[in-house]
Amino acid sequence: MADNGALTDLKILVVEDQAEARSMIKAMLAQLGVNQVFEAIDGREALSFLDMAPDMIDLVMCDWNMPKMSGVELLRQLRTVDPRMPFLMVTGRADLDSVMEAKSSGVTGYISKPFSATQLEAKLRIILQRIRKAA
Amino acid sequence: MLWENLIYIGAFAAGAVLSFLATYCFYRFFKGAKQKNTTSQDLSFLNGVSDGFLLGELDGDNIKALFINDSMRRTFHLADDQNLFTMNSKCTLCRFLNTRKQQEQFTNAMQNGGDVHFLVNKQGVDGELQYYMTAHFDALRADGDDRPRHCYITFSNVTRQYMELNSKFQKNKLEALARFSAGVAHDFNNILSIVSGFNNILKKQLEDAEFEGSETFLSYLDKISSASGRGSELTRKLQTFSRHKVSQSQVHNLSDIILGNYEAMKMHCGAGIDVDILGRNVERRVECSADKVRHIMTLLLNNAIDAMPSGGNVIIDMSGDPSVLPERLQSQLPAEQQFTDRLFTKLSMTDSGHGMDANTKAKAFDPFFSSRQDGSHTGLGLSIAYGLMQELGGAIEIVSYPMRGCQIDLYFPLSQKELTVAKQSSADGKRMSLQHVKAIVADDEEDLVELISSVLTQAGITVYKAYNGNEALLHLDEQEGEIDLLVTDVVMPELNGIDLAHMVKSLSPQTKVIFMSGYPSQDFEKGNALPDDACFMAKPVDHEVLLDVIADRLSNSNENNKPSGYSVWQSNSSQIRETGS
Repeated sequence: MADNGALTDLKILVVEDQAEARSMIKAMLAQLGVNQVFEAIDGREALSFLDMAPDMIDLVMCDWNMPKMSGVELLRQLRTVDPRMPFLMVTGRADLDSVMEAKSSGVTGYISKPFSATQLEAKLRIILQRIRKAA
Repeated sequence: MLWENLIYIGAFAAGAVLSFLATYCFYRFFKGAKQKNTTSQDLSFLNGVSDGFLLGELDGDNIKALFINDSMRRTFHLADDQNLFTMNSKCTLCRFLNTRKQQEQFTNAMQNGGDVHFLVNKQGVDGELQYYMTAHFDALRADGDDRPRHCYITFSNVTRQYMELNSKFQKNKLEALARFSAGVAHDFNNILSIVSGFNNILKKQLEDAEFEGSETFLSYLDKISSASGRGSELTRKLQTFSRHKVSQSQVHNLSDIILGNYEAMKMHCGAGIDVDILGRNVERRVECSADKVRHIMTLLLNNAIDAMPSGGNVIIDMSGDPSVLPERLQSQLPAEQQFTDRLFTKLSMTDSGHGMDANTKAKAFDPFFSSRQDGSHTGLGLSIAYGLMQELGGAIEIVSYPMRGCQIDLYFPLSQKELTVAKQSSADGKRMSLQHVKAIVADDEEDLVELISSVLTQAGITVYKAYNGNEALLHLDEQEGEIDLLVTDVVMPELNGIDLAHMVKSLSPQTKVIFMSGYPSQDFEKGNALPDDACFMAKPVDHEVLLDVIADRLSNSNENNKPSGYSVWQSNSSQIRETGS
């Protein structure tokens, strides 16, 4: 497998309202060598975190469907202040319409549930490439 | 039992007015009776009322009718001179009621006074009729009070309200079921992803660990994987049940939709099944969403495919002349559209499979009914088709004989409007013209390439898939520059979308470029010039819009021509400005 060095440096903010899902993502990321993981339970927490310390996060990984503020809503609000923050949307449905909606809202990448660690790794690498491209 | 209550409420309005009228007549009649000989002439105006009305005097064991209006006489087939009813459960009026309980209530009210009301169904010539009956009987008089007791009975034909409520209920049932299914599917999917997620983590740790017995553990975890995989399949099926958002209805030529879908249908059926279309040259204008029609065809085809495991043929027949909808199917229409002289066009799909027996036919449209016992089918296909035909304002019927194939008839209401076609580069016009289009779809995310490719392929476009810029250029080279369209993401490794677009334009100037991305500002540095006629999908789009944009780009050689009906960002040298509505 390719070098994990690139991934281990990643600092990821996970936005997810369900505790079990959050801990699962965290465990999966740990397995991939990503240990710098921050958590937010809803969009508002995520936005205030990013507002306070934008340099501390390399990537936002966010659930599509959340009660108070949806993933797309968070994305749009984020994009008004930070057009560049890499954003990985975790979607429940992999149909074209959901994907197109995510894409056209400015998402950097998306992954649909349920996903495996391998799939997550592939997505993260894609996003890493994109980050490097922009830098 | 909910709909019965709804009927009561619905018919109550009619009954309330009638009861008011009846009470008014009742008291007016008897007020007049003190002064003169009672005659029924005062109430003769009630002969013109469509509901039935009877006014009577209770005399011992009898009801002596003082007035019966024409409608009542007709409903009960009473002779002109019949005015006497014996007050027992064998009474004509009482026997009209369906259940013993209703009859007991009726006779009890007769004997002791009171008000009763019932919903009664009767077999009419054309089908079942629903009546709402009310009856008032004066209370027992006090001792020494010799005044006769009187009564009145009213009858309303509420068949229409019943049909309307019933069909609304069916529609609501399906809608409620669809919403419920979508909710369940979503929550279930979340749970599944946690199960499979931790399962994968466990597998990985076990693979690295290697201890005695770890192989057995791994095999167990594999079983969990495959079970949760089956769970995912199920949620996907549930999700298609609630798939349709409100899609745009336009006036299409039905044959064009079917013909445009022909290739996709043949592919769907596979090699063993022939698909033939009869009546392809007729024009049948229907106001509908083409997507819905295609969805219905897919659902019916699925059934046909299942019925012909060793192959066979499917015939789609649109050749019949339009006609009025048969009476037996009128109840599938909304109440206000029933029994009009609206013309419908019939589309029959006939397969050569094992057909449906009477039992299966009767239940075929029920949600979750499947004649397969092995749990392999959700049983939702035909009930979705039923719901979709209802949304289109049409009807569906199964004509089938066991072992002689199954024929499903779809009735679409004809539209008098102009084809939406003629005005813009039509829904159908563009669907047809996309048949010979060649496109490259480039994105470094495989899933997205697959999704977009499948939408384009369904519309008849030949797609070449690329997962980065270089692969896209390879395709361009191989196809010797005959590519009409490039659909690409902007940010890709090795060669980004913009540079790719420039290179493609220089090698093949006629190729149109569509960028799949939002927020151009996110992906572009200043001064990064875009090709002149590049087009972005900026607002949330769905696949219908995507195909609209594609057709529009391909049919307009003049880039100043604004696409209508959706929003895109259109570039003009290095400036980006928003056009479109």
